[in-house]
Order: sequence, then structure tokens, then C-alpha cells
Amino acid sequence: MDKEIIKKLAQLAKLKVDDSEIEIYDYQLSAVLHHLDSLAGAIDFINKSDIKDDDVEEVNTNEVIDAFLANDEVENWPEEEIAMSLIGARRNDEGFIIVPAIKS
Amino acid sequence: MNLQSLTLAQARDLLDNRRLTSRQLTDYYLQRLEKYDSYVRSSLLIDYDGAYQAADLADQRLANGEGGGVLGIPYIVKDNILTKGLKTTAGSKMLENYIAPYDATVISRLKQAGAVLLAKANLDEFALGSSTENSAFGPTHNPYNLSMVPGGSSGGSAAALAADFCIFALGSDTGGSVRHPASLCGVVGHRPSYGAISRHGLVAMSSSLDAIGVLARSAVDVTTIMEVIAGPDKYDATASLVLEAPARVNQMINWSQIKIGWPVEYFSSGLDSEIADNLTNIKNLLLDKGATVIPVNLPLTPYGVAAYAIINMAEVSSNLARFDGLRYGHWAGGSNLLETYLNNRKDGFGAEVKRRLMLGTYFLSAGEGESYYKQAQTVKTIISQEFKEVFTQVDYLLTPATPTAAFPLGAKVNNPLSLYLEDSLLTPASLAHLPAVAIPIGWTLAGLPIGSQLIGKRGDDYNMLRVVQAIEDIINIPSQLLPWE
Repeated sequence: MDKEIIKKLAQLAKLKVDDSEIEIYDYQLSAVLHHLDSLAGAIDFINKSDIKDDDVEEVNTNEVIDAFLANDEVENWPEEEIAMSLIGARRNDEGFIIVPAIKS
Repeated sequence: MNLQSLTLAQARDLLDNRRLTSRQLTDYYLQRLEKYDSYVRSSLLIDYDGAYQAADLADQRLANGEGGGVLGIPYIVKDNILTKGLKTTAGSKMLENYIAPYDATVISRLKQAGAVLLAKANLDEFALGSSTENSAFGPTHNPYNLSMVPGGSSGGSAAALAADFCIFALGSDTGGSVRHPASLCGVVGHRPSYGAISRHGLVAMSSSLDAIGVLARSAVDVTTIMEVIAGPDKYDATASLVLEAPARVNQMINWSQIKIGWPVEYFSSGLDSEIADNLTNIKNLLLDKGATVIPVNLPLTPYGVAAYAIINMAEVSSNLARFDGLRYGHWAGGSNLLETYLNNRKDGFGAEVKRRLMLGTYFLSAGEGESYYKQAQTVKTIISQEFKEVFTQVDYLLTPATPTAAFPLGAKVNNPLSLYLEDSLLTPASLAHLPAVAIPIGWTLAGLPIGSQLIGKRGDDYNMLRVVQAIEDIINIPSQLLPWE
């Protein structure tokens, strides 16, 4: 992690970060990443044990999808809730939310 | 009549036998909130009118011969759960004035069952934290020592219950956010099996791990509330798990048939000695009762918090992308669309949210960052496999809930890593989608609560809660006075 990466990440995450903040984030995020590097130890442990990558992949996909998901049911959104939702927008007109232009 | 620290079961008895009305009960808690919440700061909004209306409706139903369940029972809900017509802030300036257009499924089920919503509880912003200090509206204080944190992120819910502001509370638990504050505030906190309770109407944070959980004064109370709120929901495709019917509350536990695992990795050198001693005492009590307690191994436990952090941050960066201030939320504005996004999100989000958004974006980026995510998913899967293997040997796992008791406000606020490590004993069960309960087991010499954790098999929530109640009955810990009362 360095200051350029922090700037790039902030841009991707749609966050405006001041120069004074970048130094703090650099320090804090680097400390967190340093700890997360410990995961390599877990991967070493897994590689040395009998667990195979194929087993891992199977649990990650098929089992999760089969076990956890019910079918979606699509319903119309109640008019009252639509009206309440529109109130939250800064500007709206005849059921549409008005947003700033892409370019000024 | 002394209403102090009523359990739901005790309140139920008083209401059903017409010795108390729901309005009187509601009035008792609203008065306490009014008088004392300036010390604890558990709640962001108190709904006086709504609470009295709900209480009067409950009293009509009670007068018509209805009873049982949560009818007429006052509760508080974490402010990341939508309540129609009331503000739901998620502890964030981004949603400071957001009024929910619909009720979360858990709220509509409680409403239908006649429960009385009193207030919306404080939390770490978007449930990101372990101390409730990350709230945009100021920290909540631990009721047993106001200079200490209540834990988090459901700190407002746990503190409100411990401060006797309600009979039960709802929170949300992604990596421990119900169990952590329950442990630090001395109440029971249940993270259900993933998929047992609908998340429809819960402000999404980390969708592969988020769960709504119950905080109460006993496991019997948790069971009563679970019977109302658990079950499939057409609005949440992941809420497809049907729990086995609850066993009768008064059914005796045959301890000789219970095998409890004692995972050695949870008792590492970082564990506070007072907590370790209390856990050992519980183990000895269970052995005296005839239970089998055997050491087991879960070797990847020390890596749980790292795997959790990566998955959590990646999902946070996706889920929180929706908060741009256009359809709802904080508005700072700008000369064009991009500048508007940037200004709205800069003003609307706090420091911890920004940290996780940036790291999450990193983990989801091609290159070096993505390797962290792949490693984390692998470790998550193997941790689940380790639990499956251990549960072929034992029925439950008994562990500490937190490495230490409550710590001082401000002590860790500028050190995000130390706060992530607060959940180190709680994240493994979350990653494996298992039910787990924080159980109060004693007090430190300084008068702070000590909690333990019981982890069960996926879908076995009700049997686990029965065992938790039996453990509570054995321990029977004394209550402590609240210093500000």
C-alpha cells in the first residue's frame, strides 16, 4: 500500500480524500494489510494437510447454492411505498428522480 | 410492583394474568429511557406515540382473551433495521434523515404478534465496528461502567437491555455484532443459523454473513422471540432454513447425553485470565452434572478474523456503493454527477466506513488485491469443514466470547486492527454459518460482565438454546447494581 494506491482506491470507491487524510489512511490500511498477510500461513497449513483444492471449490459453489437459496418471487411495488421512497430524493418529478448532469 | 429486569417469561405471566397492562409496562420503560438514557445513550429515537398505540392495541387483544408469545412486550431494535414511517439511520450521517418506506420482515412479524416497539438503538455506522464508537451520533456507554464501551456493533441494543430499558432487543450479527456487545453488557445474545431469519429490511452490509439476532435476558426468552420472527420469507431468498420445532421449555436436560467440545485454539495466550478462570469453572460445573467435556482442535481459528475481514470489506464495498445521495441519503451536491457522488459520500461516511470501502475495493481489484480474496474464501471453506468434522465428535462447543471484558471508551478508536481482533473468537462461527450464543457467566473483579459462547450445528438453534438455558440455571449469576441509578 502506498499513497498512489490509496488515491486510486479512493477514486474507484467514489470517495474524495484530502492529502492530509491520505497519510493517515496509508498508515492504517498498511497496518491492517500487514495483519491480513498472516492468511498465507493458513494457506501453507492447508497445502500441507490432506485437503485438496477440488474439495474446496465444490463446497464454495454447489453446496452453498443448493442449500441456501429459495426461488425469487417478483411482486409489484406498492404505490404507497413508491411515493414514500420518492420523498427521500433531493429532486423528483412525476415519479422520476432528477439527478445532476454527467458533465457540468 | 417491582418490574426491574423482568424476563419476557415473567412479563408474559403478569400480562396474561391481568396483573399488569402493556401500557403500564410500556410506560415503565419509556420513563426509564427518558430519565436515564442521557447516561447510557443507547437509543437514537424514542417512538412515544407509536409505543403507546401499540401497547393499547395489545391490551385490547389481551382483554379479548389473546395471550402468549410477544403480545404486549416492549422491545428496542437496532437502527439498521427498517421501520416504516420512522427514521432508520444505520448510525450514519448518510442516512440521518432517511425514513423507511416499509417494515423489515422481522418488524412486521413482531408487529403482527403484538410486540411494542419503543426505540431505535445506536450502532457502529452501518454495523462496522466492535465498540459502538463509530456511530455518527456519538458513542453508547456500558451501563455497568459509563467510561467503558458496550461492545458492538449492536451496542445500543445490548446496553438498552442491560440498562433495563426494554424486555428484549434486536441486533444484527455479521462477524459477532450481537454476541460481542451481549458479552460486554451481560445479556444473552443469539446469532441464528444463517438463513433462519429473514434479512429483508436489514441495511445490507456483508450479505454472505449478515444475520439478524435476538438479545434477551434468558435463552427461554430468545426461543419465544425466535418462534415469532424465524422462518422462510419470500422477500429474502437466503431465508430458506426451517429450524426444528422448539423443544418444550421445561424439558429437562439429560447431561449425560451431552458432549461439549472445548476448542483449545480459543484459549490462547491473549485471553484474559479472569475470563479463562470463569470458563474453567463452567466446565467443571458441567462435568459435575455429568456432561462430557472433551478438548477438540480447530486449527484455522487464529485465521478466522483475517478471512472474515477480507470477505467483509469486499462485500461492504459492493453493498455501500448504493449510497450516493441521489435517491435518498445525505446530499452535499456538486456541479456534475461525479462531483455529487464524491461530495455526498465524503460528507456522509465516517472514517471506518471509508477504510473498509477502500480496502474492499482493493480486494476486489485485479492483481495483488484479489489474491487476498481468494485466500480468504479458501480459509472460510476449510473453517466450515473443520467445524463439520468436530461436530461428528461433539454436540456443542464452549468457548470464551471475547478476549477481554469491556475496555475504556477511546482506547482503541484510532487503531482499527485492534478493534477487528475484538471479534477473533466470534468470526469463525459466522464464517461457517453456525448458530452461536453469548452467555453471561460472571463478573470481573472490576464489576464488568464476562461472557462465554456456545456454538451449535447449523439448524440446531432451538436445542442449543435449551442447553444454554440449562447452563444459565446452573450458573445462576448474581445481578449487579447499575451505578447511575
